[in-house]
This record gives sequence, C-alpha cells and structure tokens, in this order.
Amino acid sequence: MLPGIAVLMETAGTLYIDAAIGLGGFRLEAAFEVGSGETAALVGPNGAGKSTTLGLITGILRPDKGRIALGEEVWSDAARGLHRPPHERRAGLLAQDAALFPHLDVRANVAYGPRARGASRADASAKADAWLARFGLLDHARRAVHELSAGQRQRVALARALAAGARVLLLDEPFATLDVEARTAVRAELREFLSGVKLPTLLVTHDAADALALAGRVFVLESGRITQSGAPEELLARPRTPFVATLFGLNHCRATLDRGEGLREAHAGPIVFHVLAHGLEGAVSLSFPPSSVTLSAERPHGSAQNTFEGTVREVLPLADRLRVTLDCGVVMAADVVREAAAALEMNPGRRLWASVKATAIEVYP
Amino acid sequence: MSDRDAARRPPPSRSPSVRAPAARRDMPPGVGALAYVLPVYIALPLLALPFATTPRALAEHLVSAAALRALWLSLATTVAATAITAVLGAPLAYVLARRPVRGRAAIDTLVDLPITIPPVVAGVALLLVFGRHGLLGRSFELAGIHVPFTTAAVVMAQVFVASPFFVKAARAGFETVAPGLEDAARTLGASPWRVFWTVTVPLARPALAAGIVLAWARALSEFGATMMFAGNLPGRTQTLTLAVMSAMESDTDTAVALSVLSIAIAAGALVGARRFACSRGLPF
Repeated sequence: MLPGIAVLMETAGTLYIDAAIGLGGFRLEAAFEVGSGETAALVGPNGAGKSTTLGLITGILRPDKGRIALGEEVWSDAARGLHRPPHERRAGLLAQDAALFPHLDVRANVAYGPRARGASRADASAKADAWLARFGLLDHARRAVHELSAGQRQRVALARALAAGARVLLLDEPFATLDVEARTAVRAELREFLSGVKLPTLLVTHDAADALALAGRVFVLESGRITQSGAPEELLARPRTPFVATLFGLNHCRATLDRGEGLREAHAGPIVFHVLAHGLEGAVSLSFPPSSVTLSAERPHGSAQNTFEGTVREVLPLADRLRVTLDCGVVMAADVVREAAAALEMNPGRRLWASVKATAIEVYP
Repeated sequence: MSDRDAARRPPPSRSPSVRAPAARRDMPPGVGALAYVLPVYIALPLLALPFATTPRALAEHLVSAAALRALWLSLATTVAATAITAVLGAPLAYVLARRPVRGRAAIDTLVDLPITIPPVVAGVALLLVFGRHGLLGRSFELAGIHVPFTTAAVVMAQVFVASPFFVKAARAGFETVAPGLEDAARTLGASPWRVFWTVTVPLARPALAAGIVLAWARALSEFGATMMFAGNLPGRTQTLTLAVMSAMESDTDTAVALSVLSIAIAAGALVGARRFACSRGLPF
C-alpha cells in the first residue's frame, strides 16, 4: 500500500492460540499459530466460530480452557486464571463494517487509540494526521465517517488500528461490504500493504479468492474445530472436508479403500468408486472437479470406470456452462456445456447417469 | 389529480412499505372529524388558565414570597431527583440493554411499576419503609436520621415516580449503540469506563437527554406521593403543585398564576424532549 509503514510497527512475535470456550450449546476449540509477518486465513461456514475466535484473541471473550499468547506475552491462561483485558492487548481489529465511531470525524477516529493511551489532544491529532497521510486520507481528516466510501472506511479503520499501536491484525471479512469492483481494488491494495507488515495477521473470510490472494496459510474452522490447515494450494489439491472442497469448487467424499494395487474399490456410503491408489488403505478422501463428471440420459458404455445413477437436485447457470448438483447416494456437482444440458432436459427431479474416470479422482488419506 | 401534480410527486418507489401521499389515503368516514375532539378538549383548559388572569396580576402573584419559595423548592428538588435518577438509572438501563440478566422481565415490570401505581399509594408505601416505625425507618431513627416530612423525602418521592421515564429512554438509547463499536474501542486501548464515556454515552446522548427531560417533568408534576410522604410544609416540602392546591383554598389568583407557570415549564420540557428525540428518530 505505502512504503515505510512497516518501519513504524514493532515486531511482536508469534500469535499463539490453543484455547476453548463454550457458549450455550456451542463449543469452540481452536488451536493454531500465526507467525510475525505472516498472513493466515481463517475460513469456515457461518456459525463455525470465526467471530468467537476473534473474540478470544481480542480478549472480549474469555476462554474457559487453554492459552493465548503473543510472543512471550501471555494474553489468556485459563489454568492460571489469567486474562489480559482487551485494552491492554492492542489487537488491531478490522471489523466487517469498519466499526468507525459515527460521532467522531475521521481524524478523531484515528486519534482515538493514542488518546485512550494517554496522549494529549494535540499529540494524538498529530499522530492521526501522520497515519492519514500515509494512507492518502489526509484530505478527508475533517469529514464525517458516513461521507466516506466503503473502501475509504476500511482504510480509516486500518489507520486507526495502526495508530493505536496494533501488535496483531485481525481482518474480519474486510471485503464483505464492498461491491465487486472495489473488492478487487481493496484486495490488491491490502495484499501490497500486508507484504510489508511485520505483525501476525489473521484474515477471516468465507471466500476462497480472499484466502488465495492474501494468505500464505489457511485454517479451516468447522463446527468449532480446525478441520484442515495448510497452504492454499495444498487445500486446493487435497480438500479433507466437503466444506473445503466446496470452497474451492471440488467434489469430495470420504471412502473406505479396499486392499490391493492398481484399480481398487473405494466404498463411499451406498456407492462404490473405482480409483487408482498406491500405498493407501482404509479411510481416505476422494476428490474430483465438477468438470470431470459427464452426464448422460442412458447408462453409458464408454471407458469411464465409475457410473452412478442419480437425481438432479439443483441446476446453477455459470458463465459458459451449467453446474448440476446430482444426488447419487453421494452428492456431486457436474459441469455441463449449455447445449448438452438442453439435450438432457436438465430439471430438478430428473434421473440421470454420471460418469467419472478413475484417473480424475484424487485419493489421499 | 392533474398530470402536473403527478409529475411533482417523487418517483414511485419499489418498496411496498412506502406510503401513498397522506392526502390521498382513504379514511373511514367521520374519523377525520373525531380526530380533532381530543386536541380541542386538551387545549381548552390550558388556554382558559392564562385567560383567567392578566400579565400584571400574573407577575404580582408570582413574586409573592410563598410562590417564589414553592418555585425554588420545586426546581431544587426536581434537579436533585433527576440527577439521582440519572446516576442510578443509567447503570440499570445499560445492564438491561446489554446483559442477558436473569429475571429480566421481572426487573422490567418492577422498574415500570411506578408509572402505573397511584402516586398516593407510592407515598404510603414509602412511609411504610422510611417512616418512623418503618422497615428501614426504625434503624434510621436510631441513627438520628429522620426522613419523612423533610425536603429529602420530597426528592425521594420524586425519584420513585420519575425513574421509569429515564430508565426506559436510556435503555432504548443504549440498545441503539452497536456493541461492535464498544468492542472496537476496547481493542484500541480504551478501558471499560473510557469506552462508556467516549462511545456509549455520546452515541446514546439524544435518548439520555430525552429521558432526563421526561423524568424531570414527571418529578415537577409529582403531587400524591409527596403529599403522603413529605407533607405540605411551606418552604420545606411544599412544591409548586402542592402550593397550587393550597392556594386554591384561599387565593385563586395565586393558584392560577402558579398553574400558568407550571404549564409553561411543562410545555418547555416537552418541546425540548421532542427536539432531542427527533434528531435520533426515537419514539416520544
């Protein structure tokens, strides 16, 4: 975003979290680390516990088990009854809607942190102006926050967090309120900015594109647990849960692999896949892209080793094709060109045959 | 309707909740006329009061020692009662707005109860607690503190009847403050008290101000509870309303003068509350 900002930020050390909290019937058990200068993405479906995780890191929520620490500094330690309050942690939170104070102008928003930490009015304003200048927002210093565009609001929120001396950056769906064009621009801007940041940065998102563009590592949170973590490319190649597979647009199911070599049977619920796998046995994941699934009205007699009959559940038009969701005992998506779709009279409820080549199916533990 | 009128109207909105222009809505026959009965009924007595006197007589009676004493006592006690209500009511309103308190419905009802129970009954109840032989009054008496029939009792009666008006308004105000803003302030390094004073209160200010004005106006109009619990002692417990009643027995002109003054104060308070409330779209 701007050269030289990184120089102003202290390196804080690794953000370390291994903590649990129960909220009503929901229980979150999160364990992961974000290194100094690393950007990690926390992705998961709604209600998976993403906001709760942020609450634990900021200190708004108190874990009932485990530890949270930044470098050498312990933020929460349930066993010792230790809990640093949010205002002593300085975890820079960039909320979805930027959460700017509507009763303060842009400058006073950015000066809020320094003021809270005891700076005089003049010093706080000077500090705010310095940050606004770095983000190219000095001209807007006297503006009311509601006069800003969504992208500008996010930049003010970032300046406000940094002016407050943030030692961790928590970006909570920062693009959710932006329209498609602004989204791309702000994402590019943020990518450049984060490349120079020396703080641990956690990006919460439900969009695969955000994670792929910005994060070096992805933690997948489902129903209060981390179900998979790794580089985005790793997740893309070998999704371990249906959610991760759907996130990257792949079909996925768990299966039990028979003994043997070469072409082997993998039992996935009521159906059996024929797959190529070496050195594996027992419980495995299978994944294959929707483009590898072909549909036909009659049982095919081709070279495909896997054919399943199923019912059309949903037909979704994409740019140049249709994505058909088919329930064959295992739910799978198939991409079909429009002409073929028209010939097959693709409507929900219709019975069709799906075929997948064994070589298209990725098998991994 | 002519085409020109139609052109002047704003373009039709896609939202079905947007109303048709007020003048074009059909009403059941007679409703329009009936709607004006109540305002006339309220306005007539209010207008009758100032017409029952002259500005000169008004001024004359208002500067009488008894009237001035009652006015001063009313102002002093209502300001004190409003301050106490705000200091004790704001924390209650904040907790009700933010925390899932156990027995919230019961607390809500309890807090609102002074609006519905007759003030005279409230006065009796206060006597039963703080009177010479009352629940707490006995201990107070031993400590040499005598509450009933003092200026303090006037303030206590006012706090009792006026607090719901502040608590209701303040709670509504606190509920409009997004918790996310308070969380953001915490992460920026502000202590809980600092967040309360720099984020919560400023954002709830219109509602808090409206609540203060309403509570103050209710305290000013207080009569029944004060009468029972504090008595009607000129200079000590005789407030404006009690003075009006006392004056009615001997000197109608003074009663009218004090009444006109009360109406002026009440109207001023209501207009003030409206101003604050309208700037925030709060229901008053």
